[in-house]
Amino acid sequence: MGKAGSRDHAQISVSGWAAPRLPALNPTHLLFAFTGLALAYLVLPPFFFILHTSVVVDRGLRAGSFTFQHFASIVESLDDVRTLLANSLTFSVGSAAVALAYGTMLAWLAERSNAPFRTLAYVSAYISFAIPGIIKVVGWIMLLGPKAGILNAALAALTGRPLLNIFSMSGMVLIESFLWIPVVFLLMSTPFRSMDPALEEAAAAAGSSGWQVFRRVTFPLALPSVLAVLLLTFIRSLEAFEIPALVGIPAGIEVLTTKIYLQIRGGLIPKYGEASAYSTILIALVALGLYPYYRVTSKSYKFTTISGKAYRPHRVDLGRWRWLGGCLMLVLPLLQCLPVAAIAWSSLLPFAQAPSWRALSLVSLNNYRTAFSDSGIVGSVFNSLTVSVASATVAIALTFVAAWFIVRASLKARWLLDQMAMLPLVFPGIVMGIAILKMYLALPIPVYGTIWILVLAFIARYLPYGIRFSHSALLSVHRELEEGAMASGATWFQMVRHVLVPLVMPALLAGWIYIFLITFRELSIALLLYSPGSQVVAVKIWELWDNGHVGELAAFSLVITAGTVLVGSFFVKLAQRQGLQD
Amino acid sequence: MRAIVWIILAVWLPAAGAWAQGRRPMTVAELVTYKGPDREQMLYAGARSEGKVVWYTSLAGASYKAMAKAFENKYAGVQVEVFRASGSDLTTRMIEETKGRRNIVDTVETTEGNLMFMRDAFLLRPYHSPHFASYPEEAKQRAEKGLFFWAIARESYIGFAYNKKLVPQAAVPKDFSGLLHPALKARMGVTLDDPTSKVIGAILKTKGRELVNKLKAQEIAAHAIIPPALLDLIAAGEVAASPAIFRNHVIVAVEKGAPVDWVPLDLVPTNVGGAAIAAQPPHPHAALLFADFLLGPDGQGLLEKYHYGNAARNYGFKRWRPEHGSTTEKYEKDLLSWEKLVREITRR
Repeated sequence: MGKAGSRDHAQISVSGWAAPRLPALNPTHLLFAFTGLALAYLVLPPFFFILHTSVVVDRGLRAGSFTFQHFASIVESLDDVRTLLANSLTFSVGSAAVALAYGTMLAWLAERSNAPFRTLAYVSAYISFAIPGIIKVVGWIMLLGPKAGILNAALAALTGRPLLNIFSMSGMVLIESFLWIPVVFLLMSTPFRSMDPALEEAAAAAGSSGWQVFRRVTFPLALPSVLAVLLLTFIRSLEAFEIPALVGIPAGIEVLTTKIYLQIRGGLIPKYGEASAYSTILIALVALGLYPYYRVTSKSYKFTTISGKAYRPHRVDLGRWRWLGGCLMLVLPLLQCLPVAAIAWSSLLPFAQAPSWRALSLVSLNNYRTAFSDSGIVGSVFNSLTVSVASATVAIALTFVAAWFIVRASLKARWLLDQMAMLPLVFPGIVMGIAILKMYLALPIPVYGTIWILVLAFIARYLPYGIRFSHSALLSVHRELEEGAMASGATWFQMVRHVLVPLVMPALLAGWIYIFLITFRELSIALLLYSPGSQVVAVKIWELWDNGHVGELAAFSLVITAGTVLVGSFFVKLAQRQGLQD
Repeated sequence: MRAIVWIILAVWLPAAGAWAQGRRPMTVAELVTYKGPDREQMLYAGARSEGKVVWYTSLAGASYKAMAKAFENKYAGVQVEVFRASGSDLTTRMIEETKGRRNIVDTVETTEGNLMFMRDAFLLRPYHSPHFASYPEEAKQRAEKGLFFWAIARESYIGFAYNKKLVPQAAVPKDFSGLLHPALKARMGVTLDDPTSKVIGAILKTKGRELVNKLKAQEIAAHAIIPPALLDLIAAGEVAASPAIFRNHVIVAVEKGAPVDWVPLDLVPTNVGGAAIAAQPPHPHAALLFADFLLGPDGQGLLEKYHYGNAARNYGFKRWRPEHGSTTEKYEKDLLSWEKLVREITRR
């Protein structure tokens, strides 16, 4: 365990903060105020619009008047609440648990053991973000569909039994966890990477077995990250839509999100009031979920893994189990490759079909030609690059500063920063899109109709991811490093630039790349907010999906995925050249 | 003095006459009623000075891009800015833009149900087009003073699509009752959106509730995807058939060699899209010029190339537009009740 100390001792006392009197203004105070205001500006107006939409009549003569009808409609529609809740919890807990267990194990293997294929695992984890979720789900259906799934058909031919019917609860849990394993893997890598092995060595020297060392030292040190990731995966799985819709509905399994989706999409225009009411319920649930997390992580000094002491990287020698570890690592790229291979296959065909000699004779690049025949593609790629780079940079910078205040400051209101940054986690994309649309139509800020409305929307949307990447990274850095720098005469900004940022840069870069890649294909918000002239790649992907051209969609997505990964790698290299990586 | 008056009159009268003869409509209200023989030239001249037209559409595939390109080729100097989304998203966006007092859209092309919603929300302006005369009365939405809110620019037909390798010819239904064929049990799929709801509406209209109830025993699987994506599953063999697939999508799939086919049943629910003008178009000349183009031979010919149907043509099956002749409120109520039935018969 890291150095114990009092809680006050663990937090930097910025002059005047702990005292009841009004603090004197210094750059740190100004930065705190700026961070708070920036978060409030990004998050609170959409939140207000969502709250407002949830309690007013949205149509007809009584439009704008107060009502609780949207909440009542949700309650009325949940006629079989018990089944829905049970399905939702089974799905989200199951997915979060599988993803957490496997992702954490992979992170440990990659960072703390000598298992091979580490780089491959990292590359595939980043690539996974660039592949649109809908593509992966369609790919898995092509592989594991009960009647024509490629893997199922192949296995049935060999053994007489199909591998798995994807249209089932176990299929849903498995596919959802596949989507989350790369995120868990990257998030959990940071604490394992920055952990001082001396702590484990001391435990081992004191006679603890390998398992005891893991249980009593390694795992407790990684606990805040584990909890953060568990919370993230659980909440996101709870509000996941693609898999419950594409896999759950044909299986006859309804969860809360699909039930409510079907309620709000009915009729001529969506019932955003009900969607907003649903969001406010989720916001309350998430606030409840965050409470135990704060309780556990409030004593941040317990979780420091980077201190002023020099330590050498040390990896556990797995001995003869090394190749088993390697095989487990290979599962991650395999999970990305399988659906992509299925999609790549369909991108070469005029219509979907299982591999056969006849199908081989139909292989062509027509889908690629058609998908890229649009003259507006170059413009949309440029727009997407601008939007994703700007969104990822601002989101990471802002959440890094916010996370520093959350972890280090002794101000009681610091939890508000975390709450604000986490709030968008529960805004359904489409509802957030509407809220931002309304906001910038009402405000005299000239971003409506430009790509900058997308940037503002994406920054707000991905704050929760930025804050979790930054928060867990900062928790692992001992305050003595910062105090040492400041005691040596460095200003706060110098300390951040020369000490803190280099230490947490791997985590920040992971967060940046994650947001960059995911915003490149973010759909629900882009669909509502794009305008003629500000079209982005995601909208093109949606158009292809909406037209039912799975082959063209597959061709376009594969090329865009490859391009996105290249651009992402370029930025990583650039950062490394600037000496920003550890 | 009298001489001066005569001189003034002599100078003013011919000038006034010339002005009156060549007078062009100045306001949007005047423009939308203009029927002069120089309509196209006048609109084009105005559109050129406006520079562009903003078009909101629900047309799918490459058709709307081809439409924009064809218009730009014909009317050089007028750029088409397209925003493409579903009817409900277009409606939502137009409502919010109107609330925010932003006049952005000029011409709208979307499904009739959503146009009805827009009309009721005062988002559309009635207009005149010389092409209205060639459309049957039921394909137009009449407004006051001889103007129309929209005319049907394209039609899509919903019927039974199946995989020819998986469904024997004897099991291919000829009417809605044929959906109960034992060979189709547990092999059909439907999407959870409008086309399926309209098929249920058509079954209720032709066969009654009893047949809808019996369909539950057929174990039809619901899919939260769009009809063309379901057609892909049919082509791949994951689903054998569906009673709610668009004819134009099947034609495209057949052209690519997919082993699928489409048949109309008793009544063919028809998805229609109309061309309308926004209530406050920022580029009124271009708005009208584009609507004329959509409804005229150029636009119609192009849509036919993309396998859209035409309201004036007979395709040999009985078409049904569920929203036609209904009020927006009643149509939405019907739609919701059909959607509920879809979920009931597909629930396990």
